Amino acid sequence: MELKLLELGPRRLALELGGVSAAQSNAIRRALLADVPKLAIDDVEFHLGPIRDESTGKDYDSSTSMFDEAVALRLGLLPIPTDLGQFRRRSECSCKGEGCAHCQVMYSIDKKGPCTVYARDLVPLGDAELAILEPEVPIVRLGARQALLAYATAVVGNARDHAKWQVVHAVSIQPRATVKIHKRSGCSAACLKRLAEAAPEGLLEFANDRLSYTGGDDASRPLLLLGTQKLCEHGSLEVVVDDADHLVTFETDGSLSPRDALRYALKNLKGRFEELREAVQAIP
Amino acid sequence: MTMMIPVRCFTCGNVIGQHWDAFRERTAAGEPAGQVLTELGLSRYCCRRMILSHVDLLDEVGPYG
Repeated sequence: MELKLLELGPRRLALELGGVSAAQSNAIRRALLADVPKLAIDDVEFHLGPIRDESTGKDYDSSTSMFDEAVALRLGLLPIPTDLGQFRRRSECSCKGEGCAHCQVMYSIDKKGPCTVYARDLVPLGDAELAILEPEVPIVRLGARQALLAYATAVVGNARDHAKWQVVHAVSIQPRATVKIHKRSGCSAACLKRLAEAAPEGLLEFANDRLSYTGGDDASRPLLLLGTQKLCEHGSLEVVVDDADHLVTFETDGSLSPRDALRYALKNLKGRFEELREAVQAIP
Repeated sequence: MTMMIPVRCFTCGNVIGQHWDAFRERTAAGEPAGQVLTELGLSRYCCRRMILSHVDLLDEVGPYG
């Protein structure tokens, strides 16, 4: 199995896997989507009843124009930077699920209207590095006599249980393809021109009676011509698909780096097959 | 109905809520919406429609809440 890194950004990774089947790539895709754990807010405790501003003596109402459940969901979906070396699931923690510094993070939010509450208003109790990654996400808007006072607890979870624990999104796998252009006998200039016109923008060019591929080095683009090649019945345009090479691209929400997410997904796959191996070994 | 901009894209799960304020201000100033979305880094059409088709209704509903 060969690996070629095409792009590594803070939240995006593209690589080419050589000598893999579609089933293997798909297993990686599924593990990336569902098996990479992260921190997300799972429990929110809202203060109910009047909220007093000590400095002015003014009373605020704790109900906002959005249900508490809707606010809690919005808080849950916010990305939290997660160090999987530091945090583990509650069920696997030495505190036996009671909650400790290794399995949960507490946040507080205290805002008085009129204002818009943003993700940056959610303050981590303790380590400031655990602040929400996208501070500009609006959570709720408060009216003149409304206030929001709440405590939130983030725990490590899995995307199989809820989308808020999904680290990786937009995973794509596609076979590597190359474009071959040979003017076959019987094919006319008009036929080639029609191909250039029908192709997605910027992929084919027809000039001086010649058809050329203009998609550049981007390995994901030749596959876009699969439909176009059928328009020439003589076979002058050919998209050759190599099923043993796959392009894998995905993005993360920033809670883990793409490299860590991929490493964890592969570790998880390995662990699951190891369990299977042990089960098979136990067959008498 | 979503009264405020959703936090994440319904389809792919990308966090998109943080772009709403910038998108609203820039389009109000006359910039073309498509160009603003591209410059905000929203490349997929699922994420683009989240912002493009959103109507902020919380201020309409607020007085009755």
